[in-house]
Amino acid sequence: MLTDSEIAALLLEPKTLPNNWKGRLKPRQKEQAQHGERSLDIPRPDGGKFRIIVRQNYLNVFDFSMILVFCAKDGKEYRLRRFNGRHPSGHTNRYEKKFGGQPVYFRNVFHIHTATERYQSVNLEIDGFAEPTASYVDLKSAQEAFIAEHNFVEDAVGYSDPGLFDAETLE
Amino acid sequence: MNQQEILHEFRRKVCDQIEIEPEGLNRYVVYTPFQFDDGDHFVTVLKRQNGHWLLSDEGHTLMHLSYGEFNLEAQTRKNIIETALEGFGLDNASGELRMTIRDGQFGDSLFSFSQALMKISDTAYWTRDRVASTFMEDFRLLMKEKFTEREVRFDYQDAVRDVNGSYPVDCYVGNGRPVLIFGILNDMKCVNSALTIMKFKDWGSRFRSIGVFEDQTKVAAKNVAKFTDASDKNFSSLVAAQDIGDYVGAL
Repeated sequence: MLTDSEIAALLLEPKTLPNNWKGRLKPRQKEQAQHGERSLDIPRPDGGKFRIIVRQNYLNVFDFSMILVFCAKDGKEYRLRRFNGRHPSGHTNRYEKKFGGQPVYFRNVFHIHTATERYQSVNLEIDGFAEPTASYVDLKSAQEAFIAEHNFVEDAVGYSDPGLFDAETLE
Repeated sequence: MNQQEILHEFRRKVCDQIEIEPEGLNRYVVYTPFQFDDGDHFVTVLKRQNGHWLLSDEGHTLMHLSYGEFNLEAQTRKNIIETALEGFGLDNASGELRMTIRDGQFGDSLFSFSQALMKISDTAYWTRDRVASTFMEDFRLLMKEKFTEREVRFDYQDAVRDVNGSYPVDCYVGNGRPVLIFGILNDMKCVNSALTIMKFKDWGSRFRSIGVFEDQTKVAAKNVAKFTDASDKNFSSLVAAQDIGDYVGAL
């Protein structure tokens, strides 16, 4: 389980993007699906990595998702943040519904899911808490807000991620 | 049937919490209380196409369930989804789940549509719980997907030195320097795979070896260490192994 302070530290931790990150986050159509998806791994200096996942529904341009995942050194994965589009349905914050707090319910709006300690403590999904947002209106602006809010920086020396990792361990 | 009559039917057949809101031309969002496990509600849209009313999830359900590890093509999962779709009368239009409303049966259709979405979303729970029966299916699908240009053989054994099949390899990738890939579900498989790699080395074979764990954190550290010593590369999970094709291509 991640504590709230650990989650906050991970969100604020500087994350270095390869200079080809925009191309590597362009969704690709998935087979037998009406959406595209793409992901990009960002190594952490002390082990583990962050992963960005982008999903776009091709039947409804307002239905998309940008996800920040923390992949710990022990192999466990935690969804820290999810910038969701305006999918035509509601969202219920189950913890707040049961124990009190706001918001309990909203619908058909852009919204952001955030990992919390309290959701994990009662065996709810780590990022089950969500709040409406006005900080983006489509996938492009959501991507800009996502990059800005999570302390992503483009690598100054031009590191370009070819989609491999630790290839140097082999000859 | 007008909007109010349709709403009345929905509520009568499903529950009082149903609401309808027009959005776009000949398109209504149907708000239901049914949710995925993260609190997001199922998407249900009522729309008119080619003179017929239909319910659609507009492709949202499978997108919502795909955090990279939900693979619709895994046979066990595929069967469950197809059974749910068939049983409740839905069509899968390349990822869009839809149901044509016949004879004005709006309420009954929403009832069946919602039941089907619940059944399908349930498969995500056992996806995340990593039920063993689907792991090897997912593993094979991933190998097929990632090595389309290479010869891929499953349950490979050395026909000359291992006629009894004592040292099986889950996936043999040929056409080039061979790569032996093992799907590792548990401690026993981890140790046996390490032994197989060592045996192939004893035989003087030239190859690369890779392990793909179902969940490396569930295997004892000492056994992971044994496998790591024997192999060239480990992937901690199927999600982590998404780059395996690039990795092998770079060797």
